[in-house]
Amino acid sequence: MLDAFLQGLVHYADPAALGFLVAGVSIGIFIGIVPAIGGLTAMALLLPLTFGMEKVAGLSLLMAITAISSTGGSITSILMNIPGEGTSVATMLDGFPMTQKGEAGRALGAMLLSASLGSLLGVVLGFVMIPVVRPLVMAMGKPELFLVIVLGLSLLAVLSKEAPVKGLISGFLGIFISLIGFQESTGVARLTFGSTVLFGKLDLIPVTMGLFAGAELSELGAAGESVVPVERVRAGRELRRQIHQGMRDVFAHRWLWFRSCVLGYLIGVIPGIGGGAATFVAYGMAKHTSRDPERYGTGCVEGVIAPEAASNAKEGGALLTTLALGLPGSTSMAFIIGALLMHGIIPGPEMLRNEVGLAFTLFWGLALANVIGGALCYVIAGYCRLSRIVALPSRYLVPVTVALVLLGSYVTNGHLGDLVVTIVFTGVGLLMKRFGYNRASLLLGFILGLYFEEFFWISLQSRGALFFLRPGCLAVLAVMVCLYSLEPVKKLLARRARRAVPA
Amino acid sequence: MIARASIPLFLILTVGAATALSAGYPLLQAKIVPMLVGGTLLLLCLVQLLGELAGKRPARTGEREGEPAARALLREGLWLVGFCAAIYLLGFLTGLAGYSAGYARARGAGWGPALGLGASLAVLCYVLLIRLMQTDLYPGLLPRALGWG
Repeated sequence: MLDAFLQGLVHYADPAALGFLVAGVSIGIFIGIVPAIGGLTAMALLLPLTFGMEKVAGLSLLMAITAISSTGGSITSILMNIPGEGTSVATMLDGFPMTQKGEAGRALGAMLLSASLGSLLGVVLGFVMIPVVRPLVMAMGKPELFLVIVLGLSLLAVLSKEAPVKGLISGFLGIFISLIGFQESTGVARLTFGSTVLFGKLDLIPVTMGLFAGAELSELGAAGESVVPVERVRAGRELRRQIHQGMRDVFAHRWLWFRSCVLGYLIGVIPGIGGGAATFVAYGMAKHTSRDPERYGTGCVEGVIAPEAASNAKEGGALLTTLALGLPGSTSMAFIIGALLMHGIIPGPEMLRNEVGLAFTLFWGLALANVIGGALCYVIAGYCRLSRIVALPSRYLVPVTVALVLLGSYVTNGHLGDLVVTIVFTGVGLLMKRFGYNRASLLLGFILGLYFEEFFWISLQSRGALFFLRPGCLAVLAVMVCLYSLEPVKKLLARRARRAVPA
Repeated sequence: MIARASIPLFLILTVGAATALSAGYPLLQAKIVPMLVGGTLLLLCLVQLLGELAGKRPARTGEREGEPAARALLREGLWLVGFCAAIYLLGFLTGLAGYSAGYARARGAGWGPALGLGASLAVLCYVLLIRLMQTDLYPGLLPRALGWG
């Protein structure tokens, strides 16, 4: 095992493999920053190219794109409130308010270190968990996944503690919207009103783009100002000082970072739950367990650290499931499976027996890509004056970003109807913002709603009405009970302690 | 108060109609979840509506204060709709160039920078998406009718 572990690293002594890894990192950062091109599009385009390449080089290229595109996407989330990737949406909730407060460097620093270290921890957990992943994943059937989704949905109330009814309305509206479209299991087109756009279910990207980026850009254009006044934009040493402060924040909130990593890793291990869910669940958990939950959403660094740690640690878990069981832990991992199959390698238990060296190479590739990507993003953020983009006059910034937003919405599926969806959700986002409804809750409801119904019916049909009595389900329910009884118990203990102290 | 109450009222009407529509689906598996979610949503909207009508001012959810005027937002919305109409009629590249140059010019940029912005965005989009990424961008109704698309 140790030989294979080291052999995996030695593969990167080959300049070609390392070169393709660096190329993949560069492409990943670029496509992450530009919202019009997603990491999945780039992987789909590059997958056929890897067929003619040496297997380690080809897989390294794809692995680097998987590893780093979400980090690139978080840069635009923080600076411009535009998610470059679906996994970057939760980072926007506090990252962009930090930029508006003149703390863009701090948010970028926290994001970079939390993401890079999160990915490294994900890889380490991946190494450690190889012997236990198989029973763990096999124990997670659809009933358990359904309860994990319910756990995620229970965070709806947490996301908007300040106005719980409005938060729940937003969340349930998100679930309701996710039900629109053709239901495969019954063949019924629900709430489509004969529209072909609605028939194929609403896609996450146009909804997110409208709800957040469209609404924000409309306000920016209406105000006629830059995102941040030029005098509040930090550059040079001052910016790097902020970045370093953000990095120190990760160490200051190390337990939050660690918890979010483990959570993201576990969600990554479970096939079928997207990265967007991992980041929102980590964000919701961070807010729920915080001493000052009201600071979340107003630009607090913990709101950046938690989703970034979860987002990148998730990849280690997803890779482990992919290699050990042959089940894609995430959509991008489906491309890794495709590339492995093209080279005649069948991922699964046999791969861990016969090609364990290659499995470790992929883990090392994930780790190295994050280290190189983190360093490259640091240079881009700290030395290339990227943060000055927020001081551009709105007459230039708005048309460029609106163009990228609409291109991003269109390119996902190639449907013009997605442009209409983006515009409609821009209006929805503006109204929600104006009247104090929580857009993050709507998005969480929408993301989890996509799985909620499917998992529920499969569980009911395969395991009967008492499906939630399975041991795995009871374990998830126990986690839920512990999570929500923690705060009342803490308060009760504090009250007793106060009473015990004589006045 | 009326403006704030209009949101739950609008949701009650639209979600109510959609939930009623769901009740008519032939299979239980198709209608049960929309009815449950829709019913819960209606109940929540009713609670919110009563709260708004009672004049309670619920706390805001931490989003930014001091939003721009509704008229300015409407103008931005019209620009967006205009951009989409331009894409539909003229195609992505021409629509993109026209929208960005027009927007920048209307907001006080000189002709040179405005046209430069439009042209450079169109070129960037062409090189990146069409040449490098081999993406099919919608060619537009008019170019198609003229046989250019």
